[in-house]
Amino acid sequence: MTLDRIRYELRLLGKPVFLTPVLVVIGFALLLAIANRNVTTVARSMGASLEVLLPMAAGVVVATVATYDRAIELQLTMPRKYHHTANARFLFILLWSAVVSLLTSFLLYVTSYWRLPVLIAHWDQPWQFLTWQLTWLSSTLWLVALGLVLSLLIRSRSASGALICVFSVAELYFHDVFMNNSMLHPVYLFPLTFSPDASYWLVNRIELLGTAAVLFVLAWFLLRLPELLLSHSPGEE
Amino acid sequence: MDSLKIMWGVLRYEFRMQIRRPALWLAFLCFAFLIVRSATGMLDNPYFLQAHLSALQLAASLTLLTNWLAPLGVGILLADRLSRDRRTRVDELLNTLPGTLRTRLLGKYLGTTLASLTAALLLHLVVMAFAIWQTGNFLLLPLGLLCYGVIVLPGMLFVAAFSLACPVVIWLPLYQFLFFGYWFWGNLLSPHSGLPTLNGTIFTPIGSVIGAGFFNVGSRGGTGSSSAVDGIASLVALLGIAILVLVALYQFLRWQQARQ
Repeated sequence: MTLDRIRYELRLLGKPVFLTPVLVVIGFALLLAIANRNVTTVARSMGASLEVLLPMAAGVVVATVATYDRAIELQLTMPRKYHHTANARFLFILLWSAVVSLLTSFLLYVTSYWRLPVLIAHWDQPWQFLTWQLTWLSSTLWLVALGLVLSLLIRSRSASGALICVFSVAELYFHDVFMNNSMLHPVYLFPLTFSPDASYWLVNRIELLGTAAVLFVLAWFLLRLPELLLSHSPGEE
Repeated sequence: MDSLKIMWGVLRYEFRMQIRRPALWLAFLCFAFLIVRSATGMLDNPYFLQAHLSALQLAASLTLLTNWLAPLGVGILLADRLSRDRRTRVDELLNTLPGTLRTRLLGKYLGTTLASLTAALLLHLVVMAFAIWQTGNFLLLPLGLLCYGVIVLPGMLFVAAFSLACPVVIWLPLYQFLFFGYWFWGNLLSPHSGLPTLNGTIFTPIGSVIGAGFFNVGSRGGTGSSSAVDGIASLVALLGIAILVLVALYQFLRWQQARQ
């Protein structure tokens, strides 16, 4: 029964959900292979693809598909609660993004295109490798949680996707403001890309996990409000 | 005459539908906070003040500053228009009505783009009002509008054409994500970053080449290095590509209709 349900949910999510992170990593790696073979640039850019691009993709996908169902009115009449279904969907997306990120980071480590934060540069293995995974894990959890909350609050897939993109572009564009202001560190998503020598790298990653947990609690609460799930902004997709 | 009336009707309806979307205003409200923050930083920057820009150059610099984010919102909020018609099956109903596909497509493009541009123009006016308050120069308002027409419009029409067309063949969230990636890579990433980028070429919809060519200003308040010919080439290229994309979209939809 459970396996059947998992298989059904996976089919419902569709191939694009699973192909998106793979295409992002492969496409970016190919661009780098063609354009620039400088080790430092490739290491920096691939690190950025794990820290920026994959979490962004996961956030946009979750905002778009995790909480939308054409048969939601029917689902809400069933004994199985809708939040279980929504949680399962966003967990699939999150897990798949995590698998792609983990494999990519392992490949980067093996091929020496590995950009390390100075703080953990002299740590022993496997602690260094494991701690490095916070590079993508914290950003991914944060953006996925934000995507979930936005899609539930705004009930517009396009607007949720747009706001995630805007937030990320703002972090990329104003990275020096986020770097220099300690008040903004708990929401500074991309320190490895712009400031790998930051002394607060590990604290920042843990703070991000904390703020993501707050967003998940908010999403958990919102998913239990049928009125909110049934509301839909006019003219929205 | 009939097709003109039909197009006007489609345009009016699409305009109203887009302008009444709370999501559009919510997104541009968020942009306003970020852009006013950028404008404050720019106007307080001593290097910027030392550059002794004329009123026209100041208006052009502020227009470029507004334009780093607004097309992202316009592009993403336009991307779901055709896919929504498909999902709600309205497209099948519209096919049975008088009026050609070309008329409906053009009306939809102009209506949704104009509505999104209304929000973007309001954001631009907010930034101009802020600059007038800071500098006391009221000439910035008409000059700002002139710069908006020259620098922003070609890029917006380019972005709008792609955003309407691409989601017909690409999954919507993937397009949104790719558009974000393209916007950062092709418009904001420095050409000296080590990665090849379209930034600085005539295919830059953010308007930096047009701004540098016509007003001698760069995208971050500095001076630009492009000539007036580059500016004209960029303007023509952006508008020409937008028309080509719309023609390709029309041909694709007609082919799709013929297959049904």
